[in-house]
Amino acid sequence: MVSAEEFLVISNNPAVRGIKRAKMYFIEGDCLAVLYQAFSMAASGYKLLSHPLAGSVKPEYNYYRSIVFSAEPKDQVDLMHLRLLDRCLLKLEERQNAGISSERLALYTQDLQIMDIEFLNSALNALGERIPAKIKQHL
Amino acid sequence: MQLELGHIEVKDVQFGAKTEFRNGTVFINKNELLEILKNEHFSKIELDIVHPGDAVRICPVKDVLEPRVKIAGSGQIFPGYFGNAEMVGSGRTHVLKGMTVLTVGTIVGFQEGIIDMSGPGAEYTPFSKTINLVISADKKEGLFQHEHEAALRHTGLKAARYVAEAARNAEPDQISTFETRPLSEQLNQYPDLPRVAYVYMLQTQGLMHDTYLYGVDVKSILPTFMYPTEVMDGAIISGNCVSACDKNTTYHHLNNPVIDDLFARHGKDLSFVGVVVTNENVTLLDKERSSSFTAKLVEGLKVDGVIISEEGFGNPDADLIMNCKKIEALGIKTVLITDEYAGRDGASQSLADGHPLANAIVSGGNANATIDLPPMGKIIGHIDAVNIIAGGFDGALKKDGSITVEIQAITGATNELGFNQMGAIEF
Repeated sequence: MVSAEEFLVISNNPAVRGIKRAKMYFIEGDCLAVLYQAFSMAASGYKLLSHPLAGSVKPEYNYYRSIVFSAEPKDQVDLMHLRLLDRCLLKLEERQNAGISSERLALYTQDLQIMDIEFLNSALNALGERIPAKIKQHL
Repeated sequence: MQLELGHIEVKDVQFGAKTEFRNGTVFINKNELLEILKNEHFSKIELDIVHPGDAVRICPVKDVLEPRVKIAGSGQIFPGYFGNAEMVGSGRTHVLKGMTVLTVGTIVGFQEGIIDMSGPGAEYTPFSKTINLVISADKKEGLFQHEHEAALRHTGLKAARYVAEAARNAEPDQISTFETRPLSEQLNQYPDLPRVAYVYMLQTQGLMHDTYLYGVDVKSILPTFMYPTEVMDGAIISGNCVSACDKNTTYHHLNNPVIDDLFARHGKDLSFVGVVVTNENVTLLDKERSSSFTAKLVEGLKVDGVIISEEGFGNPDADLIMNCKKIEALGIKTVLITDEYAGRDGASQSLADGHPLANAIVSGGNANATIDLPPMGKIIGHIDAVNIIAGGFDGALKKDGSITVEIQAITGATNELGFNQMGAIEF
């Protein structure tokens, strides 16, 4: 059960940097850097709560990515989640050079950030509804 | 529950003084339709009619719909959006076969969805073989993306219903009858044949990824049972405008080939007992919950086998594998329908998740394969986005108007309901 947990969001999306609903660990870098950090956290026992890939936005267009973890590490590392992160990293690494230039990406920065915010909100809303109101106030 | 689908073959679509079906042609009163579609959110709406073989490129396509109208039986087409969400799937429905209503609009900058009506790209999309009424809608400045998506979705639904009224009094060229009995009877109808159910996964992760069942956002439901004929009356609506190659447009839902084929074999070599609709979620907890409920529903149907179709790529691969694992653990065989992102050379791993129990897979093709699309005489929509859409890349759009893209940019190219012409066979 996650109902009594607080959340930690790791993200490279500047638009969610000031988020109040969860603790924030901001990463300067691309989506791959976020996933490397996610793998490292899962290996340290943090519980992965949202899927590492965003919807059906293709990995190479996933420039901004926010992933939700438990705020504190657990006693055991979840090997299934490590395996999942490993496969996602593999897909991302394969497609790293298949995308578009940073100049053109910049044209659509706002749209890409909004998509990431929407996914993050979907995740936090889904998780938040199961949190007692007393705890919710602190998110 | 019995549904008669009356197919009215459409030989042509033209603008005319009155909206009607006459001698095989659908005539559309352009001004009347524009008036109906008028919306405070749009600065401009344009209508075009395109035919197979035209030198036309349409981009970015949001949704494709088929005009259908209820002639008899409860409810309305697209229930939940129209009427009181009465149950549909019985009585009689008329279909204008051979035409579509197609919506176009740039909701986010990297949105995809190309349809070429001729040339090599036309081979990859089913909508180059239909006559399409294309609705291009430009948003007003300042409109939020989710408002734009909703406005365009409603525009498509309204237009499809308006055009379909022309079929109300037409005489069908062909009538197909589909019958599903109440579940307790259906389970015992063919006791000697293997029982098969269909697990229908729907994209439901938020903005640009939503799907609606009787008007309800499917991400908010627990998996549920439905009769397959409900799908044919528009119970499932697409609000999904990413992943052009493997998203299910509303047209795909209305014409789901998995349901059609299971009906065709029902009573012959299998017993088709029904459909379990499930979602594709953002959180891992929701994925676990939905796949557990899906497996529970399937177990209750006492089936021997299940077909599971995915929608989208990447994140939903996890839902696909969870559904597979949990259903197989009950001793029920599964066949998965997906597509592949195996790199441009096809040599990379195909899915972002996997499991040894996922050992029977139907592939809709490799979405990373590239194709050269020659210039077209006319562009409908905003082709500039092609440099950044999924499947496009910097320099994809050349000065002469030709483009090189991965086929994932083409609407319906690797559809995971099997509504395409590609596949992979491994012996």
